[in-house]
Amino acid sequence: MTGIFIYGIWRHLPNHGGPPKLYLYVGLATLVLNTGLETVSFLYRNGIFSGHGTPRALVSFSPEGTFAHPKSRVAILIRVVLPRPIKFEAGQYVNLWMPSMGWWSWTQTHPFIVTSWSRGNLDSIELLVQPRRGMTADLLYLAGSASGHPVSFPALFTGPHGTSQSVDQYETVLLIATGFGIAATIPYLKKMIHGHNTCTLQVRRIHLVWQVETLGMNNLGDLKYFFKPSSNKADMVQTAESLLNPLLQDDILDKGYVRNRLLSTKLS
Amino acid sequence: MKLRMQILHISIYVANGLVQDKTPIGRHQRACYYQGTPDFENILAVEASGDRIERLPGIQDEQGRTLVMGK
Repeated sequence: MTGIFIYGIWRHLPNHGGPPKLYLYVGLATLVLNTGLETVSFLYRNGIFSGHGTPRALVSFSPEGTFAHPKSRVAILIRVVLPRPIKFEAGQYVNLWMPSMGWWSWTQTHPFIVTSWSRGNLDSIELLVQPRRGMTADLLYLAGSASGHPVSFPALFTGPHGTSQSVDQYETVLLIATGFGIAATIPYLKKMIHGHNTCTLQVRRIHLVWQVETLGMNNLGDLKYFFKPSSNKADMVQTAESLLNPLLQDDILDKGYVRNRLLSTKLS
Repeated sequence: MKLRMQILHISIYVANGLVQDKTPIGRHQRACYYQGTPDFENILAVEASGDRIERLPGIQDEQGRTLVMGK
């Protein structure tokens, strides 16, 4: 379609050269250059032709979810193992392509926020997915049929895309999330707690306000994957405690990085 | 004087299903369930005031900037 459009423009331009055709050539050169750079970046980051293998997506979902009702608000976790370590900033996303998911999945890419964060490069990234229709419903079906074990699929991605909001200059940060929007706040929380513990950020207070419809397992499943609870307790409040505690526990200077950093400084 | 070092506080507002208006989570008292919807005007005013940050007495400690992010 694009080719036909460009050919149509070219045919309607005067034949004697000059600025009109020059503008078209400049536009085409920019398009070719940009596409070429994106292709090289795509091949490099996905490890194609490198001998390191291509990315694998390990898909799992909340065992409390309703497998018989794939459109319910159960959370799917995708861990993408990267062939090359890549730096991701908080708030960035990737477009994921999983061609083996179904008949038409090869025609689709889906954008997902990266919930992982590290000061350095990441060997793997975690994505939280809200099942809806199409590929995400297929993901839930296939992951559910694996009896709780993660299912591995070949995957390719583009990214990281998007910009990251700077949190360096703020003393107080108020984060507001609704439902699955919690996914976007998690990497910022990790970054800010790390920054506070290492005295590299000015932040002194973070308040996360999360709105959910009900206190059902499905909503708790949202958090469960982020915070990796040690057990599957039946009681909702107890489950939430196990979800929230790891981040809250990490947010203690005495047990955190500053003391470790001082000790390592003394040892060296 | 005991200076609080923890900076993360979590408030989960549940529209339906909670019996009590406020249910603390765990022993750390830094995460809590609330029944209903958040009063954003009040929450924003409290956070912007900087009153929830403990400051050392006798030391000039100017209040910093506040960032609000939503998703």
